[in-house]
Amino acid sequence: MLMDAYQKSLYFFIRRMVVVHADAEDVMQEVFLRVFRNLSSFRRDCSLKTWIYKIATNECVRFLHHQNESEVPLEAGLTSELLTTEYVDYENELAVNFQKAILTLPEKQRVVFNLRYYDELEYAEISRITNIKVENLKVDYHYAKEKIKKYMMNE
Amino acid sequence: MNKMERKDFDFIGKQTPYQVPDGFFQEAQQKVMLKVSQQRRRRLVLKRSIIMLSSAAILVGLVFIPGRTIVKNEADKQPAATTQQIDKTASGADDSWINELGDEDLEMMASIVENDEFLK
Repeated sequence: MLMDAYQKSLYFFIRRMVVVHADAEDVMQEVFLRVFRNLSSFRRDCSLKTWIYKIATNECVRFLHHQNESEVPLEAGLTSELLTTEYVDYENELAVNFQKAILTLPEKQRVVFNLRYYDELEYAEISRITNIKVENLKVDYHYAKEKIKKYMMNE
Repeated sequence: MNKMERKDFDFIGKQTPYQVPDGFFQEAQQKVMLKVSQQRRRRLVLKRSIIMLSSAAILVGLVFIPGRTIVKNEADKQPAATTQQIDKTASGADDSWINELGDEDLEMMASIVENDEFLK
């Protein structure tokens, strides 16, 4: 079944983007509803996985922009949520710090890093998802890695 | 992903601190499927309503519009007479009627006209 195949990886992609479990659950639900609603119009010009990730990325970005209507900067808001929200293993400090480092990245770099590093998507697939050229994606990913390394060294 | 990219964060790998409640994925799947079936049912009801309304509209159209068209067509077939045609027809009828009258009748009619208060 479609959900069995993608649910876990999609949830954790969304969770890394929106941080709070309840928000990730809402976004994931919306993503699957959109997927089922539009499955008949899926044009097969990319893989089903890429198409689903595109919907998920758009939903995450839409959700974050909606959240960002407050005065607190998005990245700072997400970091503070990471330190206070439920269902986070705070004993794993390294992993928490690594996520804090990822959350310092600008939105575009965060999307690219998560899709490339955790979900191991090819640059061509990420390009279809984000509508960013492969060359630019490589640059974004490189900068993201450098920033994370720098952050982790200073921690 | 190539080896070089993997080496960058070997110290942590893919681990994240994010956790989920017990049975979360199974529950989430059930919630999604329930919503999907609700949406499908709602869309089906909407589709049926649209079909019924369209059928009703077509039926109303078939009952009323052709009747109006026939009346209109019949009216089109008989174009309205012009003022000249009416005058011509009217004067033609008068002439024939007057020509048939005798002198005595004509005199009588003239006297009626002369004595009629409303025709003066």
